[in-house]
Amino acid sequence: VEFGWTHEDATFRADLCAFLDEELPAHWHGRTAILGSRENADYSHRFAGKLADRQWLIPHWPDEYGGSRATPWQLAILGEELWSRGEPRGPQYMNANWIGPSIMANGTDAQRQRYLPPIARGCVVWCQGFSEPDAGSDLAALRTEAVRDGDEYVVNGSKIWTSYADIAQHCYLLARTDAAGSQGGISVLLVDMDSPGLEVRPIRGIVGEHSFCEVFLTDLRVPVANRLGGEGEGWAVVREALAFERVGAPRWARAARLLDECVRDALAGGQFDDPHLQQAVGEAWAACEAARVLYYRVIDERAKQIPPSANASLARVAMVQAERAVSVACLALSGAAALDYDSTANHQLRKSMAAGIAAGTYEIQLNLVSRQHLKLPKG
Amino acid sequence: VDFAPDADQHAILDAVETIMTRHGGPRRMRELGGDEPSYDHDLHKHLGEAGYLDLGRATSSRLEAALVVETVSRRLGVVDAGYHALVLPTLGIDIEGPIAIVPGTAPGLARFAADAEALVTVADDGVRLVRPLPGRVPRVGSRLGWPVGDAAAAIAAGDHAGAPLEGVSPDEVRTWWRIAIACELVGSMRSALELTVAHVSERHQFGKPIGSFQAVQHGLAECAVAVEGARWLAYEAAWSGRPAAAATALTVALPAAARVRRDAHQYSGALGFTTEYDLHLSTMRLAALSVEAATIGSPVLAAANTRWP
Repeated sequence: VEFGWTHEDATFRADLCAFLDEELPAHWHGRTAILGSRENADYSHRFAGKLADRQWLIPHWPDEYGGSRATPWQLAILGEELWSRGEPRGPQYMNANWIGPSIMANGTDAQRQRYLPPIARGCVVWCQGFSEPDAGSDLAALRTEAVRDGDEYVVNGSKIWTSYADIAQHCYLLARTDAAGSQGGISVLLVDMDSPGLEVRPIRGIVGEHSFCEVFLTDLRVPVANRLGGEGEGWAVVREALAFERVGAPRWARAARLLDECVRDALAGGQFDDPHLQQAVGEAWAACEAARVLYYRVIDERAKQIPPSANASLARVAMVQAERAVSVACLALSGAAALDYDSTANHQLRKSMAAGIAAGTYEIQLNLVSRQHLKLPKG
Repeated sequence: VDFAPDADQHAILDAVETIMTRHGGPRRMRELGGDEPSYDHDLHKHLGEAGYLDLGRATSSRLEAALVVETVSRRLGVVDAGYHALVLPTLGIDIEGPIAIVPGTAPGLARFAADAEALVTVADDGVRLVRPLPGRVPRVGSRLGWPVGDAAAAIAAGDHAGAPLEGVSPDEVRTWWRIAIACELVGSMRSALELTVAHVSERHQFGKPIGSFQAVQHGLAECAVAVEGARWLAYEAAWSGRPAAAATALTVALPAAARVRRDAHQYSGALGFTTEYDLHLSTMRLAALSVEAATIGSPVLAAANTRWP
């Protein structure tokens, strides 16, 4: 056990931070940035290209796909520094972290040649067609069906709460190729978003102009050649892809950074003398620290190539708690200023409300902790 | 960063586990008086002779000392391992027997005050050493799992020069005092949680183990998150020795301790309420340690004020 950084990792972070401090423009408000908003999508597109130029977009990929052999710790540092600055990559962090690697691991040569270079250059947006109106936490209950017709599938169904569907060029879609099975009958289809039969309707959400959508699939024809992995093997493919990302985005890093900014504002305004405020802030800071150390524990496992464990769920639970504690502290610090929609506290309130839901709910994480970490009996 | 013990750490942890299996644990604590134990001079001797109470003397092995303190606490040792292995090294003096640490401004009831060879008082104007006269310090019954004595009486009856220890920073002592308590809290929490998990896995009601009910599972899962967060922050604080890290570790450990104490008893039902069951041996200690932590000063305010001076 030890908690120091290697010289290489410390240098990596310093170089990255220097680049970000110089590169991120004044109009990029990391505190209040909303991923996938129209306003930010264009910027993210340009920014991802610049990251790619410096080999920081897909640094952990193998050489043959343009990676630069970054270690899992360097990838974690990249995620931490970018996410805490409002994730200027926009939705492209998903491409780099799991959609690309999933295509690498399961794709045909043609699929790799077609899909990986645009991801590596940072010029493409993918969305993930997972949740359905009746299949959220119980994802294996999904009903969107793909029926084989010659060398095509005919897809019918709908997806909901799909982030970035309105700006994406491709969708990593889960559909049922065997109506009878549950997990066994699911396949992954790589779908072009401009295909006939695919309709996207934005949903207004409390997080603001984040692109959050419903996707309707009506007699959508997808070539069989666009299936990723074997027919009916989609569940295994997606589980493997998401195992890497089970710990999710380093939400604690962003929460800690904007707590810091809120406190500095309060200090500058001479408004940090109240012990009640200090109490709320101290608790929020400590919650971020607990989430950080549990998150690092997952990265340590990844670096040692230990299969993903319940530690990812422990970290996720701690991150949700940290987001919520920071939202309480920021509201207390800001006072009436939080009534402004564009204030940090107002944004943090909204973000924290999504933290326990997106990418595996808080309750699902607790289930995993009780079964896999505590080994409690099944109900 | 490495979350796995290296070879040396493994060896230390294995050896301390062996000592605790032989000389610690619930049975030994009951021999000493259960929730009202007398000081375990025997265990102190075994740990001391093997060098595990002096590990923290080298700054480079404070983390190893923290691992030892956590293990001793988890296995219910009735010794001053936290003070000895983590706080004593900051004083630059040698003391073989038990010590007690109290706030200098308002010394009151304290762990080990009646057993201590030396009492350390910590105040802003300095850290002082008091040598209490043997047998003159009143014991106080707390039934919170530790031998408690009246530190105020110990100081009144003690022999002390009045001059602070030279070159010893009160803040540094407070930092390591916090780290010691955080490690001891983590050990006690792990002990209580382990026992509770075993209980809810075996206890059947409504035809199934109560640990299969989601209400119980989610409560214990949140406890586990709290304990693991406190645990790794405590180790990290011992590794860095930074005041902010110490305050933060305790800021996480204190509410975690309250939560674990509440839930461990809740899910152990009436069984956990009986003294013939071992749960109270660790949970009552959580209360005593939390009370002691507060005497150092609020860790939350310390965390906020060291982070944003």
